[in-house]
Amino acid sequence: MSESEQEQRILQAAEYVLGTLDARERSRFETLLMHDAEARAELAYWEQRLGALGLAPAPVEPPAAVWDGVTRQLGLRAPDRDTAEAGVAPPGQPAANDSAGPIWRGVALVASVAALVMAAMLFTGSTEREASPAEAPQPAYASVVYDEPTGMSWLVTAPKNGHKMKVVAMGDYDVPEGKVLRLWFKPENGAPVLLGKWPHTHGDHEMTMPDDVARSMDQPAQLMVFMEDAGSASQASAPSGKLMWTSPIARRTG
Amino acid sequence: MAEREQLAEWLSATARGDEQAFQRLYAATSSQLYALLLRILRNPERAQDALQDAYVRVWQKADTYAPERGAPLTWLLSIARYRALDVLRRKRPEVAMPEEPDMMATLLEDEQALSPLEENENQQSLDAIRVCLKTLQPQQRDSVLLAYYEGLTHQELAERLDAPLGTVKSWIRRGLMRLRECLAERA
Repeated sequence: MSESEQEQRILQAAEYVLGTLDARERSRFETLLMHDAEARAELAYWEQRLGALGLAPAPVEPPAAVWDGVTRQLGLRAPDRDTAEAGVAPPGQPAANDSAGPIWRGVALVASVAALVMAAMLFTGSTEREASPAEAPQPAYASVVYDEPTGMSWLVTAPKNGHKMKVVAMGDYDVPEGKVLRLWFKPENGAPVLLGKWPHTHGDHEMTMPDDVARSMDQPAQLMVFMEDAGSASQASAPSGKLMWTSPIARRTG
Repeated sequence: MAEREQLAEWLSATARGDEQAFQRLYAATSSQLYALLLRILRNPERAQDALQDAYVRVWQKADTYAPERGAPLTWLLSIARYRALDVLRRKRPEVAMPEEPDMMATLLEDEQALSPLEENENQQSLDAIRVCLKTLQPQQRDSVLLAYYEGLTHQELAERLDAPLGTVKSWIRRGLMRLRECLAERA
């Protein structure tokens, strides 16, 4: 490697950490990182060196709600009483009121796999009903949104070439006053698109998909549900608030 | 406050799914990450959202931390800062109150600014970059500090510093190369 190439790599890594590269340059560097160990080492170097600047601001205690949000988003249980009493709970964090059992890592991933299995069951169930001509068209797409802490789930299905998405809420989910759950469609390689208010009361619901979403259903995508302020724009171009759940959309392949 | 070994141990346990270790890690480090996010995002609500995202990433990525990647706290700070940059990129048109470059420079003078979070190693890292930043030309130093603490792009730096885009890019690059030389000399 020539000196100028090496310098180029040093600068790319430094500016990647600094955040001054534009989107195309960032993407190019991320590709380089996948197969260039020296680029990764250079990145780690700058993360450490420039990262030291992050030590300068005097610490500020975050509100307890942040930790609540972390545990909720990850589907972790509340900390156990012993831990809280030992004084290691995050500042401002109330002591937990239940004892913690074993928690496994990667709940979100497990939930995603469970969602796919359940989605496959939806397909299967529908296939079994095909004998009945009165049945609605079998779903081409399915997804299951699952709230680990409460066990609440939603089954989502959509037909091929359709604009209606059926959402079956398997129970009631409490939404705090002033908040609203909103469903976003997130293609793997694209920006999220707002589909509308996410139902939280028991029963069957229907949501409408805009043309671009209906056309994208064959591409890898996820459903994302955010808890947003009820007063926030219902036509927002990007999600706000807290990400509550994500679930991949399974496609019928047979 | 927890030292490097303790934080590394909690990170390692977090990677194995130990929730208590994750909680201890959060309790020991979140105030430093939050302070940085507040500084970059200038908005408590956005900083809190970014902090939540950062620790979700920490839980998910704890197994990718390796001691040779450096001190655990700076690794955590990097994760938080990438979240802040993502937020800024999404919110780009919305510009927060600008901070004068001169105020950035005062950070270098403020020897009390270092948090009590970690002791020797982090103190040395911060001292090293402070000393080396002082060897940069003022425009180079201001560009690097504004980019770090405000997440400004080249174009935004050019506007803020009232200089042509090419000039600003050059300040950043020369500044970073000089920084690297200086840090290597001190190593």
